[in-house]
Amino acid sequence: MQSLWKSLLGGPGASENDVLQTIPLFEELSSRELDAVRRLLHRREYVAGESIFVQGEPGLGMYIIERGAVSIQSEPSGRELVELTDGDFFGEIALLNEVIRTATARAKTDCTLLSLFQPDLLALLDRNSRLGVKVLLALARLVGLRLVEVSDEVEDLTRECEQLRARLGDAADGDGS
Amino acid sequence: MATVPSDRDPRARWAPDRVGRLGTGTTLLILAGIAAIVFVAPGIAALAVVAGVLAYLLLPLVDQLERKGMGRTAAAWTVFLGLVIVLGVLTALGAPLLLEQGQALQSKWASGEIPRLLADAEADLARKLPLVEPGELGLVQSIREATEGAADEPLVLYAPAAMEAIGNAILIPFVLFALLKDGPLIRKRLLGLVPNRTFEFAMGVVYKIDAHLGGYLRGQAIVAVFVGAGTALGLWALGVEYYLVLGIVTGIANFVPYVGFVVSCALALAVSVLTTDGFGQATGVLVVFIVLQTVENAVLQPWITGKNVSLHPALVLGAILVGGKVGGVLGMALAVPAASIIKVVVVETVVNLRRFHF
Repeated sequence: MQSLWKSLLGGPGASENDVLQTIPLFEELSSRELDAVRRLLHRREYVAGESIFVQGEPGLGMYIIERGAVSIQSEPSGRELVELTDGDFFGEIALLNEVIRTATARAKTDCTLLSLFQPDLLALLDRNSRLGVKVLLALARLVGLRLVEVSDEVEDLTRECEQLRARLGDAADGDGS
Repeated sequence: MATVPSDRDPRARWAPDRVGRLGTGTTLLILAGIAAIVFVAPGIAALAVVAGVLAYLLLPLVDQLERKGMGRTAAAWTVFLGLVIVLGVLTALGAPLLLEQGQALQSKWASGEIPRLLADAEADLARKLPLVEPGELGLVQSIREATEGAADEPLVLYAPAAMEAIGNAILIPFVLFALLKDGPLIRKRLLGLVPNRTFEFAMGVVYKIDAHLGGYLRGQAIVAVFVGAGTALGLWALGVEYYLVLGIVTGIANFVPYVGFVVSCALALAVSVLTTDGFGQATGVLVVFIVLQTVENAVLQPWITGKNVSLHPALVLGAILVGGKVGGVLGMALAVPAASIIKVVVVETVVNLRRFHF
């Protein structure tokens, strides 16, 4: 029956697992567990310039780049925040909670993306909680890591601000004297 | 960056997206195929719907077995064989009884007992209601016409029907098993046909509809079984004849709110009064129906019907009327579930459309 559906509708290739294994979210999974995750993923093709999601719209899941380049842009200026390529992933916060997208993702070249959606992750937690928890823990670690990065950045920016303010103060003092 | 059109270019936003894995032509071909099947062979489409609904009701069981560590194929087989065994046992136990009751009803009809009773009742009614002349109601006549029309068909015409029934009996299990085993995969592939731009939107709508409708449809099926079995059991305890037939009719009629209850209760009362020539048993029948109806309304319905699925009573009555016009009694039974499905689909689509900026 499986082969019938596969031949009718096209089955997933083996290359998906290779890509999946390189992604931090799934790196601790066995190949059998990766198979289970792969069944949840949607593989989609985008042409260059096509938007993957748009800032301000509700988000339902994350995307993994199997092949190609994606530009994460801030609206309405269209300024590029970061460029992502093979093996990178984005939109992972939407896996935890249905949130509004904070940036627009646009295909820079023709790309193949794998997407994982929150309802599927929740269903996985229900059906195979051991595997679901593994994915969720990895996700929590990643989000925590990003939080550390962001707070480091905030700290740097605060320091820079203080330096600027001090320099401005010095200049003002200099003018006053 | 030169290749990336900015959002200020309106064409970029409205440009048609490429259809996911399959080209637009393939998608159109598939849709045309489905339409052709629906128009050329509505019987097959109806079968697919029956198998689909059955699969939808049973999928949580397969998921539950998978949760316990069973493989998907094994889980699908277990649920499928379980259903076959349950249906087989029920048929083995119930069919002889059902046949017996059906034959008894028919022989009573043939011997002229029921028409005589009905004629008596009609004459009695005519005596009490000064406006009605005896025989004017035409009760006996209309029932006789309704039952005799079907029996006059030559036996030859039954052969294709029998072959069709056998075909159905083989087709439904095949489709059912395929859906049980590969249901989620098929849904995933169907979602794969949605264009990129509307993909996440479609995904959200499908999941929300599933969450609301799954519980509702499963709940309705459970309630129908509960009410049908309860009625059959109650009537059997009271010693009402044809309790099994009446139980099945009540279970099916229960899909039609308000009306279904009244009709099946009236039917059971009529059988009771006609077969016992008294009202002692009929009082018991009334009590059984009232108790079942109260339990259903006070305990079961609030528990199974989500807020998003519940329909306004006026809408329910409207749906029943339209269903009756389109599909007769069966249409009436299916009208309310169908209306609920349409409501959830429309509401979820509209709510989600507002949040996306297409």
